[in-house]
Amino acid sequence: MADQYTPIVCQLEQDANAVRIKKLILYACKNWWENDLNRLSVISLQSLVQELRYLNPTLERLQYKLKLLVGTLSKQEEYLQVANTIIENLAALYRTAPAIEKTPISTNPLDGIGGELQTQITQALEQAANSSSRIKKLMICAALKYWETDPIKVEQAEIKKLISELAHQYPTIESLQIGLAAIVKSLNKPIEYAAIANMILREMGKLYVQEDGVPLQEAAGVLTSQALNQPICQTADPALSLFDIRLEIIKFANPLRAKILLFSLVYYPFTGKEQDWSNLKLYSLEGLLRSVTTVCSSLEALQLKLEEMAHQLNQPEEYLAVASVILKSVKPGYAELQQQQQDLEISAADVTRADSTQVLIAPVAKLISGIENRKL
Amino acid sequence: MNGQDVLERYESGEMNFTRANLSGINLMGADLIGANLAHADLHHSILILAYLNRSNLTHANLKGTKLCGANLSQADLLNANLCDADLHGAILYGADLRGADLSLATLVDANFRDADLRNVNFSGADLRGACLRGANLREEKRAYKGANLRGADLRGADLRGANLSGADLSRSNLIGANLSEATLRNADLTEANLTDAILNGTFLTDANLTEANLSRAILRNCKLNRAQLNEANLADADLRDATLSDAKLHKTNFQRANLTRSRLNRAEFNHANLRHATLVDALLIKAYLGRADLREANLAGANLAGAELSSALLNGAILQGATLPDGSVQT
Repeated sequence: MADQYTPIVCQLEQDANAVRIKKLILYACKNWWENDLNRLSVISLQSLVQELRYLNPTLERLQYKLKLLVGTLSKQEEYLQVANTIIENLAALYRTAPAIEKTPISTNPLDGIGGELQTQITQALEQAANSSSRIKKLMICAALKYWETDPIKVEQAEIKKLISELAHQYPTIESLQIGLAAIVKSLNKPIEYAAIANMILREMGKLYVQEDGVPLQEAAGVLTSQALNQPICQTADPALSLFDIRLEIIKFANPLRAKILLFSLVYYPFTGKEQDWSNLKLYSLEGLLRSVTTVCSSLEALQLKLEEMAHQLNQPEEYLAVASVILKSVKPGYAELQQQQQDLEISAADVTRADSTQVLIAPVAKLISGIENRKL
Repeated sequence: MNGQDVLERYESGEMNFTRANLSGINLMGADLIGANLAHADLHHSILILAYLNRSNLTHANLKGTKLCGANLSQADLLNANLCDADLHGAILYGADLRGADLSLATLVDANFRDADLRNVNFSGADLRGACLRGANLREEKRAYKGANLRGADLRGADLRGANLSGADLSRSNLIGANLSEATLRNADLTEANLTDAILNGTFLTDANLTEANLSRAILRNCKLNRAQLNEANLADADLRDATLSDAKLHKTNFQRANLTRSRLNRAEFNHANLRHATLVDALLIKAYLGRADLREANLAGANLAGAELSSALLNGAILQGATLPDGSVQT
């Protein structure tokens, strides 16, 4: 099956836009924009293409994801063409290998799916799930990217299906480990769930076979309390408070100026160019508010950055006033907003809300340089 | 007249620009508070971040005009032509827009709080994240037709407390919008997409929601009496304490929906899908459940007195403590 990738990768490498193709695929796989050609050249396009295929089980999903990412770039027209080239070339992978089981990954856990091994794991996890619904909750979250609170639905979820789904989504035990750790950290009972995650990892580890054929049973034990020592509270309805925060802002500030300031902080300083206006329109005020929480770890940091940015924009005094309104509005629930954003990031891939355009893009400071106009 | 002339005249005290031809003019950031621009031709002009508070723009031609971030609070925009105008992040707080044409306009994150929007044409407008809290869009017999929001994009919009009685919201996109406490009596929401929308305490009495998508929507304490929900999708919706008396629910999908304590008296559930739905303590007096699918549904404590249940599918349904059609209580 490896041959299936070779002609596609060759085709992509020979394309006139080969560098941009690699940049976009890298961005789609690792959520990271690389401008350095030397660093780009050492990354294997073949493994990136394989990962891209894994991360996007359907062609529609791939199209959606690429389109979403292109929307965040400054050279949208050029990258739309690049995205189309990728889609055209990768379409063959979806036609000839509809079953993801066929994808060649050396430690493919799917080899164990359906066999006796899976039955064993299912039984072990089911037994444990009888005494605690948390196992299923965590598996649902990792597999289906949402947190299920309805006990009936948790009860109805089938362990066997969840195992298959996890194996599909996490090609390696390391990726499963990372995925579970990210979820556990975002929960309000991280210590309790770390133990659950370890149990899942221990059982699932049996599916992930090393190249020498030895099962990776001892993969667990990585989710230590030190990584998870942030007690976080969860709210019943995250969407509600965001509506209130937004309302508070627009009551006392110009919504457009609020957006310009937040956009400049999260992405790049707004200069009023045609492209900036189009980019700004892609983001909703609500989405920008959510994104800003990932850039500024505390209210103090937010204040500092808002004021700093206000000084850089045209008519700073106007933006300073807007900054103070934003601060006042988010102040009562900033920690909560941060927590909600973390929860959302878990389910980002499946979010179809109005502001979903930016949820998938890590709007963190380290990315800013990557999205800078002229470097693209 | 160019932008400079307008500003000089305004600064010298002249407020009257009635019927002036100002098409294509650049007045970015201009201060024209209270100016009289009634019947003025401002099409394709640039009024980005302009101050037009309390200005009179009655019957003004603002077709394709750039009004991003403009302040139009309490402005008079009666019958104004704002077709295809760009009002991204504009302030229209308390503005009077009765009869205005906002079709295909860009209204992303615009603030329409407490605006008078009766008889406004919003068809195909982009209202993502817009705030219409407390806005008046209601239909009034012989005076105002309901607002036209046909096919409008209202994703994530804040419509709390807005009056949308008789409004046409057919095929509109309301994904993730907040319509709590809004009034949508008699509104047309045919084929509207309300996935993940919040409709707590919303009045949807007599509304037409045929084929609407309300999956995962939150409809707690929502009033849906006599509403038409035929073939609508309410899978995984939260309808706790909602009222759906006399509602038309032909082929409606309520899979896994939570209808705890809801009032469903005389509702017509023929061929409705209620698999895995929770109907604990629900009132289903004289409800018609002909060929409804209630498999694995939880009807504990529900009142089904006089209901038509004979042809419903009840395999695996929980009926403990429920009052059955003949008045007996299931033990």
